[in-house]
Amino acid sequence: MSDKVTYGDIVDALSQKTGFSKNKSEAFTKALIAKVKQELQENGKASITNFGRFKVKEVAERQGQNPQTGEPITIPAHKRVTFTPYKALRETVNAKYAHLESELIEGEEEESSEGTELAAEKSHDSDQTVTPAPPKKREKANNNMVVMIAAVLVVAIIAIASAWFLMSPGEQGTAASQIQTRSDNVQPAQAPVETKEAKEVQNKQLASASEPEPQQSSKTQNTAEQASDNDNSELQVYTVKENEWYWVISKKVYGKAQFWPLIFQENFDANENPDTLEEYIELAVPVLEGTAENLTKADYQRLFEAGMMVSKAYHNAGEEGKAFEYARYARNWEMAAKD
Amino acid sequence: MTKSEVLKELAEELDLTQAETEQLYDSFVNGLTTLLSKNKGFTLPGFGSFHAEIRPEHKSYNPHYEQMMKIPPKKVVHFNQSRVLKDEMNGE
Repeated sequence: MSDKVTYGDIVDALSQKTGFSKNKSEAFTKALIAKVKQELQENGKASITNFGRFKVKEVAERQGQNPQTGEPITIPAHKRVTFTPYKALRETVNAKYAHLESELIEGEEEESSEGTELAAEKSHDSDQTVTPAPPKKREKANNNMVVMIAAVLVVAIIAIASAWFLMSPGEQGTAASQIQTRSDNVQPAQAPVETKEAKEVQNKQLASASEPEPQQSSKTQNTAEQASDNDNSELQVYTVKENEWYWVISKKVYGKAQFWPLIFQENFDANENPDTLEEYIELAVPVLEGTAENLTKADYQRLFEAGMMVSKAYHNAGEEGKAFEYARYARNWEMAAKD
Repeated sequence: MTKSEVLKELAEELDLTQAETEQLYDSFVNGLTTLLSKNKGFTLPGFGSFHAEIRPEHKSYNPHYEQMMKIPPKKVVHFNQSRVLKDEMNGE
């Protein structure tokens, strides 16, 4: 359940924002509410621009029962006020979910991907043709493509895994470099397919082309290295799944959970509580300059800034203990940046 | 009643200029919108309470495609009238 803000807080914020006194702000709020009420009495409807519309609805008499005794009672006909949000409000509230679209499900089969591109394509097609048949075909073709990509990626995983296990532990350095060259060799073959399906793959796993990464993260130490090597762009996009937190995502993306302040810093400001993360939203994930094992000074500097920001955010959220803890981490990172 | 009419009446009532009233009005609405988008509910005394809730992903029949569709999660704003408002509307 969401937390509540008191009326006093609203009035305080209003007076702070506009520079009017608290008395004036409260008088305004009261007058506006009175105005809306008066209009509801007179016309049965009222609206607040950019917010929503209130309407008086007649509710017919109905049979109910006393929830405590189970005794039947008659609820008399009455009026109730309903609220419909306007588009401006709906869009602002849903800004974080704007990238999601509804998609078709074929029979009992459930698609695990959130292919926004796919859904967009389908709706576009059917706008032109109206019949649902063509989208189905396209979807089948897409399914085949997905199977092919999966096959290619499985081969890649096997190749990398076998290469890894063939190497003796003493030669880890060379092993790592060989794995990279191997995966680099595999990459160009995938590239043309992936550009088409890029979005889908992104949503499934990560923005980077390294699907094998999450499976390997527990075994190998150079996952983050691979991730940054395989990805040429500055930022990756990650879609939050259910019950995921910053450190879970950080562990998946960088191979280390304690780098999560980077993700937080990239996406939010210090007014956000770091302990709340909404599901299904898209996060930008910054790419490290060095590797998770071997950070550059610039990386440490960024971690320091991110750590300080998280500390500030915790401070704003009233979590002094955590704020202190992250300030300490940040100072450690700062020391590392100076060395 | 349009926004400008409301502003005019409020300005007279509060002894402010219309521009000042509009500033208050816009900040007020913006503030409420921001609160709701941050998942925070609030109550306007004597009127009712607002809160936003996540409607989770679900399946639903789409008559246009004649197929089941997966509907993505969405935030929905809810309003609950207060007892005072209910009584006033029912003339008590």
